[in-house]
Amino acid sequence: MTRFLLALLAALTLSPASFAAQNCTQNQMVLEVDGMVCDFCTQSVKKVLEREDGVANVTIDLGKKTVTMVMKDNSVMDDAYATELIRQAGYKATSITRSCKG
Amino acid sequence: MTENQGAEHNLDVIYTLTPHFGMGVHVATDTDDDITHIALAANGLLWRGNYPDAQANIFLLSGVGYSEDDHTSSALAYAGIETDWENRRFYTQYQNRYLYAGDVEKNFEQKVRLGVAPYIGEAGELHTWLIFQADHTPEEKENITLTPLVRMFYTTHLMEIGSSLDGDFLFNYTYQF
Repeated sequence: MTRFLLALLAALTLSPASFAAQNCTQNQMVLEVDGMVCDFCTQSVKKVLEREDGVANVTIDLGKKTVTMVMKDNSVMDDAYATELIRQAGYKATSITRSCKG
Repeated sequence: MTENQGAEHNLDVIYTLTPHFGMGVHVATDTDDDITHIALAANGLLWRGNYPDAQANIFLLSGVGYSEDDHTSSALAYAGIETDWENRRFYTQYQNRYLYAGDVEKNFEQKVRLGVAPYIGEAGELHTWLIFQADHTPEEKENITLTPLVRMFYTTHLMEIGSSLDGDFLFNYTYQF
């Protein structure tokens, strides 16, 4: 039984899913943004972010005042640059959190 | 952007060069007085306040160009200020403009708007506003025009439809490239 559990643990540890999780480059960013109160605002933000090569997808939640950016594989954007892009769109990023998607 | 109310028709094509500055062309006609304006427009965002649940702006509007009526023509220049404050439920705006066009026209006009959204739309949905607009043009005999209107936003399209209490139809349309 112990041998079986050890084998199961090893299999889980080395499975593709857990391997990907260990190598996740934090490819989803959620930015809280001040001033984004209308649909034209969201279009401006999307336009600026989607111009970036490393950005795969942008979704905006007006109610939560958040911009969720999914990065392409191996693409990374630092917080200062993301904040600057939001400023260029005309708004103010107040916090950034990162997570693995999928 | 095109704005049409009664005999006045405006078309503005503005390219935003930076987040704080845009340039383009302003064309206006007044079919009652047969006046036409063509101007190079320059608009600047002087200040923006980004708040957790609201946004406020102060814009400078300006232009230089050419004006003509049936009898004469003149160089023209105009300048004005637009301020607004809005959250997802309420909207306010004040705008003024002084226009000088020599013998063709000289006027000052100002406008106030108050709006309310009957429901709160999410990103990508249709957003609707009920707005009451008051225009004041001191030089004119009947110098106040009151216009209730409906504003609808959908993605990159903004349309406003209304009618003044005197019966002048209003239609404005803006496309955000």
